[in-house]
Amino acid sequence: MKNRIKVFRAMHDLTQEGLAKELGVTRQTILAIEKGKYDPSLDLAFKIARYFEVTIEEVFTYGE
Amino acid sequence: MKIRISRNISYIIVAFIALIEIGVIWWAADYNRPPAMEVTSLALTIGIVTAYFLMDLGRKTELGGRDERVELVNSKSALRTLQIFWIMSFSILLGSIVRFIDFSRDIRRAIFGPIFGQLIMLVGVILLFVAFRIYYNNKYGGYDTDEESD
Repeated sequence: MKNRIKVFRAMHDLTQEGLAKELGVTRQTILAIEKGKYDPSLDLAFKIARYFEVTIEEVFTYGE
Repeated sequence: MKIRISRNISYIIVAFIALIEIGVIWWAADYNRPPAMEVTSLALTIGIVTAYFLMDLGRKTELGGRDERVELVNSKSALRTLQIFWIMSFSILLGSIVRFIDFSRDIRRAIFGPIFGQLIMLVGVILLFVAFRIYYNNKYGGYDTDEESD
């Protein structure tokens, strides 16, 4: 699953650590999601999308 | 000063403490006279208390950074550990039977001996695993009936 978290982070001028704190997860989790090594749960995916005030499809794209 | 220790490091130190405890018990069995018993009791007490504090320290450190990915890592590691532990234990115990038990002497002694007891415990582990699978499958809706087929 591809994602645009890095782009949205840059748009909000936010570090991985900052986003992790806002979402209540570890920095390593944000890093793993951005690198595509870990697919977040629906709950976390929605939290990320809501934090950036966009739809989930704008952040995550399903596919290999 | 707040001491922070990662959970992996705490596990490794606890493993070394357990090794030292085994060494102390080995020494006590070999020495077999005072103060072997006192030294062993003291060593076991210190070891257990230290291990408890280390595990607690590791847990507290991880709590700040515990999330769904860490939970996934933990559950996958635990399952893989169980699988490898089971296979290794079963192989070693079967090997022990072939190596040490004289079947021609008295088969009943072998069946009810400690090695067979441990093998039966390993079978128990599988049954326990199945029981937990049923429990969690039920908890997460695995046995719910399909509304459309009612």
